[in-house]
Amino acid sequence: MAEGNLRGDCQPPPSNRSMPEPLLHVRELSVRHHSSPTPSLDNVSFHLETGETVGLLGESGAGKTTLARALIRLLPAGCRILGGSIRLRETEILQANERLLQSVRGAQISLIFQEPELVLNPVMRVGEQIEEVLRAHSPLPKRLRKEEVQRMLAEVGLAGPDTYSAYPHELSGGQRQRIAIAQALIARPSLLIADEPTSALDTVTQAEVLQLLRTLKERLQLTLLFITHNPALLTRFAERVIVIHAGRLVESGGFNQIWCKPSHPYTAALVKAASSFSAHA
Amino acid sequence: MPDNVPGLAPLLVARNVSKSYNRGRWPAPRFRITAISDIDLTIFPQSALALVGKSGAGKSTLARCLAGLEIPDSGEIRFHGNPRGVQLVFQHSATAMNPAFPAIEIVAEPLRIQKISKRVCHERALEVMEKLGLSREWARRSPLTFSGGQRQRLLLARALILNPKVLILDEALAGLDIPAQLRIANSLLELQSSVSMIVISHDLRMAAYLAGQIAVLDQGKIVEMAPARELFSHPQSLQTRELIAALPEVPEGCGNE
Repeated sequence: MAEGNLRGDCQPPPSNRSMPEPLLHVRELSVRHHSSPTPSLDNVSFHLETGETVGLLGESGAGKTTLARALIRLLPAGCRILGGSIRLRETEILQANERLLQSVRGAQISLIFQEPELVLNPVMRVGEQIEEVLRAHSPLPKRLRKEEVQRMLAEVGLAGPDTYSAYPHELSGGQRQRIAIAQALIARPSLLIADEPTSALDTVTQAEVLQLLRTLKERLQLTLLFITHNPALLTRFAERVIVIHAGRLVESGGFNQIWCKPSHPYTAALVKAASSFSAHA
Repeated sequence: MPDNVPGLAPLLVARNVSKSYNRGRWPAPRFRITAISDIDLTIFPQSALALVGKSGAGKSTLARCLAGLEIPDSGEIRFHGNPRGVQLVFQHSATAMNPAFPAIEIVAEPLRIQKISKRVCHERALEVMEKLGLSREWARRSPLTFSGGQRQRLLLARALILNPKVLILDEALAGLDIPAQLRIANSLLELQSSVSMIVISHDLRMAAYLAGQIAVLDQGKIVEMAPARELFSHPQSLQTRELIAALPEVPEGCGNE
């Protein structure tokens, strides 16, 4: 991993924003589960540019989670990648060996899920769980690691001495999702994949977590792939939206285009459903 | 949809209902938390009331008390008629049914346990399933082969087979995709001519879609109750304003047709 910004280099980092190169480039990715006659992902191609927020929209069963997991090669058993290419800057993920993948996961690409309980160890203090990720990716001494964790806890809005030593069950659902976010970001990845991160939360907490993701995205200059079934959550958030249906990418475009002039009937149905509820508000 | 028609006899009445639980396990000290306190509610025939609030506001405890699954510490809940007349449907459809039963048995079970003949039960089950848009041909399939939305319909069918007077939906649509939520919500609206509903949700939009009257719960108390439209246009309480502010903003003027 090349360290940017050597001392004396006063160029602001967004200088490469004028000529953005894709951070992630997925080409013709196909994945199939052995029990299914049709592929779960069928020739999916898209790219993410550095610093972009992209919404991945689709119904359950469309292949959103399979895609998220394929990107870091953590597919469930029974799923096989049939072909294609996933390039993260210069690294070809599909050719990478396990060692390389371990250095990519968490340090370059991180994933957060709908249920933070899935990634949190119930019998380990949450601060230690975040620190564990840092230990795997960085040679910092323990004292500095602990400071770094405290700083990250403050970033996700959980400052205070008590949080570090709390167990997951002592926290609320929203707080646990914040811990999962801290854990995902502690090793400073450039790409965060958020897979329905607010679907298990109530609307007030959902709004708070969305706001947190917006803030962190700016502060840490993240590229964000936000996966959801609800197009309304992408308002004023996603710069681009890609729509997936039955394992295929059916549409992609700016948020306003997807919301106002969807070209695929499936997208139109999703948007219509989302706006019928809002019409009552 | 008249919501509070004066002169109609109320179906279900809750007066000063309170419920608290013991919390804290050794070595932590035990303490009591109040889940709901002094709740007053009246449900009229053919009406729909939504209970809205954040997680932990006491919505589910209230639902369980109203359904008779929990005995309140104080206050009273009066329902005129057979206790089976109040039915409760929850969120996690997958855990609420026996995967070894075919769909039709799941729906028919509440009648079957009353020693009603199998033929009658199955006939009635098929009727309710069809009403909810579940095809007769799926009757023998395992619920595991159903989608989340279809499973939720199975649970609704199982509640409706008893001809309840009041149907309590505790986040029954949460966890489903938006299009599936909308389809089921529309089925529910059709049912409202024959059964009163209590819709529990953290989502104000969903509440307003399904119910004319909305009660906002916070820390076990009803902080505001108003017709849906009034609640949105003139929210009185801080909690209501917070819920409104949390709704995702959607672009106006398009996406509607």
